[in-house]
Amino acid sequence: MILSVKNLSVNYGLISAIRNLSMEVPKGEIVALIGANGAGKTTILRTISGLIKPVSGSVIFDGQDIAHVKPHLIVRRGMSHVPERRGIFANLTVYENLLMGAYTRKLMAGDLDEVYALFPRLAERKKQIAGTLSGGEQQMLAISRALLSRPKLMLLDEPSLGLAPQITKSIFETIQRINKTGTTVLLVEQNAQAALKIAHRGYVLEVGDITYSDTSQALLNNDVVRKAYLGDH
Amino acid sequence: MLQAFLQNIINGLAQGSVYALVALGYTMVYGVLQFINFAHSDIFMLGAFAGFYLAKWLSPAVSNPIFLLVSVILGSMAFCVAVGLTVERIAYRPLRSAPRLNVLITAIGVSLFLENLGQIVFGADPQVFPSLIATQSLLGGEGLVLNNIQVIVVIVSLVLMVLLHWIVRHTKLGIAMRAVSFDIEVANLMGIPTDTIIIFTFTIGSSLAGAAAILYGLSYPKIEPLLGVMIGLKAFVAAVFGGIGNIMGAAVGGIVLGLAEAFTVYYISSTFRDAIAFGILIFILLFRPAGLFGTFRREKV
Repeated sequence: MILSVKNLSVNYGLISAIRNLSMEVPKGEIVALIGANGAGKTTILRTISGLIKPVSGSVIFDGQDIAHVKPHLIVRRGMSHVPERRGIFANLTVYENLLMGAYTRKLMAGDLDEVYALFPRLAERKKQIAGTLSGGEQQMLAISRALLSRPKLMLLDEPSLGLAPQITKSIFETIQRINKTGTTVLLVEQNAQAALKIAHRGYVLEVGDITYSDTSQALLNNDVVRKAYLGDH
Repeated sequence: MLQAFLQNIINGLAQGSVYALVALGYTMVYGVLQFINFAHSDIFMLGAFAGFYLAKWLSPAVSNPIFLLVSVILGSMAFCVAVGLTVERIAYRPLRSAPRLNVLITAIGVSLFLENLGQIVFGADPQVFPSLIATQSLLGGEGLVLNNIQVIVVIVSLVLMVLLHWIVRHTKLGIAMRAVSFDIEVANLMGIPTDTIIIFTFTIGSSLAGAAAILYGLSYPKIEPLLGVMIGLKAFVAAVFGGIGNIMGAAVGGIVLGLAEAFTVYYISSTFRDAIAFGILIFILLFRPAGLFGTFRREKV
């Protein structure tokens, strides 16, 4: 397991957002975390990457508990988090955004070529201010930026948010390609269908609790999950 | 007519560049932490006194005026950085996750503390800032006054601003500073150590205030512990005018304010010198609250 979350509880002020949650991400897989709005998916990712500190429980990443490590140090240990709504630095150019993605390392000449090969569109726009990119291009930039820290584990929060179906499809194909090169992926999605299609395994989250966990194939065939999250009636 | 116009340009530029240097410190700290560092004006004041004592100590030993000037400027910058970083460490960093209003009130507290400390240590009476370089008229006779001090003030400011521009545009730390000021949380997710960037920001802001203090002392050789109050307010107006958080805006705002003051004094009356600054503030807040170059930032929920 590259990541194991054990008995995690997280509060927002006095409100409990996550209660005693456990989940695991095996090395090399794509794991999807699906669930309705407000179930706590984003909170889990933010706790894993260190932005929120849990009240109890542990987050074991690569053998060590990182639940109370500062977020910028977690990046150095090999995790990167593409936040909800992409978190592009809209005041910086595409190139400068990529440079910040590689902040923890020395940027090598080949690094950018790799990213540009994955998303040729970014190469064309490297000098452009990132705020002027389209939603799809911003998502490409967010993913590329996260890749440049050379993560072992990549957390993706709703990469399909606000994107046209065609773009979503291509983003998900790229996530699959990134995974095939050895990066483990934990994917949070409202678009459960698309997420489970590329994932090896899935967790279903309901108001702070995991209600189902199985291989994604089994979840796609599970009647309750189909009714609740896949739009079947 | 033309002569008077040019004279006002010269005076305005010299005064405005000092405002601009101080305004940069306000705007940069606002950019990364979203609060007005009211103690900044008192760091400026401390820089003037640091220069005052340093000059007294150095001048018997140093005969080359350029070397003396450069040493005093660098000394004042270093002293201001030390004070700025101490204030950040002791007063602001413990409040990093506190509401912004708490930090703002703390900043006012630090400002009052430094002003009163200054009065105890330096005395409340004004002191005469030593003339590090003998004033020489460069354009004499024809009524137009241009002296070497004015030229030095403008050139030193310009060099510092160009240097700052280069740091912010082309160095990794400078780009990270802009990233932090856009979104500190995402900057964290990039592995950017945000405390380091905040220290870097205070370092630059305070050092510019230190340089500005010496340039001010050269032009208006009377310093006292409440010196920072009015300069600070003017520089703050300049920063708001340019768009608080916007570096280019602060530089332009400072120059524009200096020019506006010079022209007001000449064409209207010197009693309106301070009124024009606050008039500009009211005007900008009414009609373009985000400032000349500013953009509204969305409040995060």
